[in-house]
Amino acid sequence: MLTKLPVIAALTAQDIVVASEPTWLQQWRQAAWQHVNEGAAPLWRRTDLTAFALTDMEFSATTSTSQLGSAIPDGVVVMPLSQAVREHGDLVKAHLGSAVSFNASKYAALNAATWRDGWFVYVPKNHEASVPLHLLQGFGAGNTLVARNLVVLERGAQLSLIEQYAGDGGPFAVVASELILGDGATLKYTSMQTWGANVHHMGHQVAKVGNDATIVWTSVNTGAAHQHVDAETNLVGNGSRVDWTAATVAGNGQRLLTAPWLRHVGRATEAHMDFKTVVKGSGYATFDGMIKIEGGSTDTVTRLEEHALHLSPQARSDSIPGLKIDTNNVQKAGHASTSGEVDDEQLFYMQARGIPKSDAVHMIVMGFFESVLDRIPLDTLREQVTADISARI
Amino acid sequence: MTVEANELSFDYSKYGFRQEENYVFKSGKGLSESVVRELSMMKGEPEWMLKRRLQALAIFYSKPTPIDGAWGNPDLLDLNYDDIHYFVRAGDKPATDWDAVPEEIKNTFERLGIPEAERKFLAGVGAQYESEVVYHSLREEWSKLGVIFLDTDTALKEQPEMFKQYFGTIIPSADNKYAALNTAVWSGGSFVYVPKGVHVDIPLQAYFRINAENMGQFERTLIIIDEGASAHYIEGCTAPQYSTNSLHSAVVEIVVKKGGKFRYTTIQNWANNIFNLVTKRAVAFEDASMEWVDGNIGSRLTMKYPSVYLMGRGARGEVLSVAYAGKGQHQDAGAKMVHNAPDTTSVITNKSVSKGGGKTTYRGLVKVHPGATGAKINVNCDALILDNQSKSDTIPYIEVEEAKVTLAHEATVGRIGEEQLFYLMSRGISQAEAMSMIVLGFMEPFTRELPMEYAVELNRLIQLEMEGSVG
Repeated sequence: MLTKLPVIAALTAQDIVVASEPTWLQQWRQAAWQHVNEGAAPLWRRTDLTAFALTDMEFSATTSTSQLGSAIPDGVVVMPLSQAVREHGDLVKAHLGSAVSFNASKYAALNAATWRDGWFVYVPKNHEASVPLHLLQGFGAGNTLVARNLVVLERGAQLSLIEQYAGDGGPFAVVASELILGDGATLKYTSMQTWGANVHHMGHQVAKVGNDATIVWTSVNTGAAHQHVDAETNLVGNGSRVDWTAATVAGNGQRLLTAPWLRHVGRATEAHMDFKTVVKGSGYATFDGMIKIEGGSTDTVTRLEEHALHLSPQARSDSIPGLKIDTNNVQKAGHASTSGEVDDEQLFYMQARGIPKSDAVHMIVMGFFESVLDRIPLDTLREQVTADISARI
Repeated sequence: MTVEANELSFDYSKYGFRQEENYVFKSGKGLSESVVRELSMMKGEPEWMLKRRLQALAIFYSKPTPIDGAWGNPDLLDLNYDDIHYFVRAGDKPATDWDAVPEEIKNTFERLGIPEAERKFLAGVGAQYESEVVYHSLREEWSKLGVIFLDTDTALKEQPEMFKQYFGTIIPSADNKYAALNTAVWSGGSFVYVPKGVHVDIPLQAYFRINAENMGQFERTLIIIDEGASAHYIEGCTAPQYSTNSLHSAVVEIVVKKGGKFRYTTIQNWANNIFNLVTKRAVAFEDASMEWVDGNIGSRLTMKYPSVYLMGRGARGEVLSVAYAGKGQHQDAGAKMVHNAPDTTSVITNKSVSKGGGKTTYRGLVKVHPGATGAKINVNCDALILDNQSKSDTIPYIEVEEAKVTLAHEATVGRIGEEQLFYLMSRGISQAEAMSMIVLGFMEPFTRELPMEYAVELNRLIQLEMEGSVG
């Protein structure tokens, strides 16, 4: 290393700006940077903010190593977001920041102000991508990855997208993903946080779903030492839908938090959420979920479930399945949450059939996750993640 | 049966009247060290209590108003601490028999139905008029059993040791801003002690009342249920309507010792301009059982989360609550269960109804500490939103630090089904009656746990609230 990289906390408003970028983007970055400096620290009781200190994060123009884990499906535009600013300026201008606002938190603002990397994915009107697209992100220069992905599906478009954070290094990752679904679009979105054990992952993910559009969202969270992910499906369109599942494994030393929101805005929107969590060793997982049914929405159907399995007495799981409902025009709204260890009766049944206890626990846990992992579209990736989780239990 | 009840005439003046003010002592508006010193001096309190009050006052000043964060509420911004009377005293000292109670106050009780309660042998009535208990009676046989049921000021004088042993140990002054405020300016409330193995079959009842504009009520209740004893305490509130904000901030501390059983029933019906900010907590030891039955109908804003700390093996806690929020009301209520010992059980059942722009919030905490193996927890929250202006939030915090637990939480939110309404109306029931029946049915798991007079009164109140609900 020839020159020492500056830390983010020491940057000036001038450092934030990229000279070659259009004025609107420069101004947007500066507004975000102002929020970084002047915004209040988030009131996150379950995330240790000292693990995400701006005074520890280095700034670099090449923070990531982005790779394609698959071929680019025919007819789909995939390129670095910085390139898209030049080549698809109008599209980027129309959508950047429209799903993940930099006002969402200090870290959303930090991402907006300082991102240099990330992907732009664009699927034209009525185009059905034939094969899954796999985007991989890892650490580059410096200890901090700041990356932003912008995914735009035009009316009637279809795509299966895997977004994966993997590898060692860092340890800081401050990432954001914006998913824009036009009317009638369908996105299968597989979001995987499989970092090495030392990473501190801070993520914001928002999907904005148009009329009659559908997102099938699968989250896998197995890596990192610290994770704080604010995720939201914003069902703005009439008849928009989300089917959202997640598998989280928090083992020794891991503190993994996911805060998924279901926001119902349009008429006759529908959401199903089923999050599954396993905690083990000294692992600590938090599910801080929310169903928000906005005042103008009508005929909402929504259900949120969260189930936590404890594999050791030292592990901890917190669950906050919230409901905020500002209208009575709701078809169905509810949530359920359970916590506990592996069911004794199931264990007994399996042991009675000669399966040793440790194998039985293993089988039950893998069965618990099966419905989530089955949704990973690429066979090799699914097998790899399944083997990884299996080895840890 | 419900239809019949709907035809009963309802004396609403019972809840909306006020008597001419005729107080012996009334402190000026606002809070200061001199108000606290004066209050303590007038009560002739021991030095340690004055010290405790002043300490608590400092804590109250140092803590910010909780308008945000996990247990905050921005509605509290409308509360003006300087616009409240912190101490009012009616009558010179607690009366020992009915004849000594001033006529004007008797009139108030008459309209509240206390004499009837007496005639029905409904047991010891500790009635609170303004900030101090002025009338107190206790059935003879309980005295013989050693049951103590006093107003809290008298208990400080007559039971100084037990008082000092427990006061502020369940809810320390620093617990929250309003517990600190109560500790600084508390006045009145009930003190109950039930000795080992004594079963009190008939509920102990206290009536509470606010009757002066802008007057705060800061009653302090301390209840000790000794080993193997059992009792049921009922607190009921009514209050007249006023135009400016008032504050009610009580602290209720309860100890249920080994094998004891206790139930605390509240029906809160403060006027719609009152901030009702209450801290209620019980500790339950080995094999003890603690139940909070909590109904919130009135007030402008209620923030109340009755808690049970399960400290001994086999302890059991239950909160059964309903909330009804009409126009301009926010019922921000819930429950907390803290499991600190093995084989402990808790059950939370919450039903809420919002209407006419009202808002209900269920906020709850279930905490399982390491070592509380075999804990079983069941939480059920159901909300009914009656119209498009009304709101409902459900915010349950669940923190589990033990593997050997069985925890289930379930919540639903909905409106009155059109099929339900259609079914009832096709049988000749008017829409208003049908809605009323559905709401009463929704609340029935709560109502059936109340003593009959209370259940009838609650049903009438809800019916009254439901009038004109069809629009």
